[in-house]
Amino acid sequence: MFQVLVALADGEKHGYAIMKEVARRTDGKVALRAGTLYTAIKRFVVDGLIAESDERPDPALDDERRRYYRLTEQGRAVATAEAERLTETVAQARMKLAMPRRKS
Amino acid sequence: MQDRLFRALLRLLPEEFRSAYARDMETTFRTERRSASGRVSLSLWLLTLADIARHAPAEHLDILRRDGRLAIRTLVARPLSTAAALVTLAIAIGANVAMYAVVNTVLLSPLPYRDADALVTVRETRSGGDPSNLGYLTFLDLKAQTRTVTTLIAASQSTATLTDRGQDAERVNAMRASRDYFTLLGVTPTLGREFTAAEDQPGEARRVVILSDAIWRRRFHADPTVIERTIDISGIPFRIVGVLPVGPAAIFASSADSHLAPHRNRPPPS
Repeated sequence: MFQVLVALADGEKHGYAIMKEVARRTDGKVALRAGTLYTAIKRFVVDGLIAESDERPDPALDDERRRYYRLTEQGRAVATAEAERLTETVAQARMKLAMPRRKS
Repeated sequence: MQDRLFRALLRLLPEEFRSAYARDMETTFRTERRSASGRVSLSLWLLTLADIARHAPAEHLDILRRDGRLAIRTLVARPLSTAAALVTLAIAIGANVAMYAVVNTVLLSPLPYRDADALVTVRETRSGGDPSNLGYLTFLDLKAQTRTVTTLIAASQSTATLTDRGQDAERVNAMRASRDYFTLLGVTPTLGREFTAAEDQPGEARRVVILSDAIWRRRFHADPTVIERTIDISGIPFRIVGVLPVGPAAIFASSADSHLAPHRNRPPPS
């Protein structure tokens, strides 16, 4: 569910926008459905990683039934730490895979 | 129509979750649906159905876990109330178990005999008196003349003293029973036989005994050659003719450690 946090990194979004953003950024490889998305949102809200946003877009462009979510400072720190961990994991894997095979 | 269907699908989720997110989920799913074409829409429905069905149990468990944690914290914070609640619960459960055991045995469980629902107890009520056991002669008359029951048996409980050779004397519960007693109840001796017609008559032939399984094992070490041995009961020699099985007969054994042959003049029938 790291993808949900990343989707909110550049600004607040409603549920459908998060889905679209994740699908776009992963070239459709990650397709969130409503159950997965909202159980993740619930957990992130409880853990303080995201929060419901009070700010609404222009009413002409907005559906008032939608709720918007934003990344909290803690959420940003967690997402950043996770991105660094993944980067390190990938770097280590690449280094290891680039090494010549040893004969047994 | 599709909105209603989706709302029904959301009912798989816990109420707490629905009250927080159902409206938002409906709006999101509606937007998704409208942007999908016909075949994609069907696929979207199937994927969403599977997705919600997959997450619903976890959400219910999550709420249960949180409720459990809250309950434990509350109980730990108030040890006296917790102890009082536990003692009350223990007493209530104990009382219920005891009550159920009695009701189950007395009212619910069928008697451990063949055709238990066809068994009746015959008692005699004299004018102005309480019901009492039949006299033996009345039993004989009834048995000879009755047309409303298949057969009548007589049995009475008493105690006896076993004084077998080389063993300490032992006071045991005993039961005097008429010939058809075991046949009627569907109990067949595991060793030997039940009483014969000749043994249901006055005279020496009636000095026969059928042992319960418990007393056979305890006093005779489950000896299979015990049949036809003679033992002393209350100073009178009795010939062992059978041993009862465990199971249905064990019910009798609890109140009757040995089954004695009928005494013509003594047993009040039941």
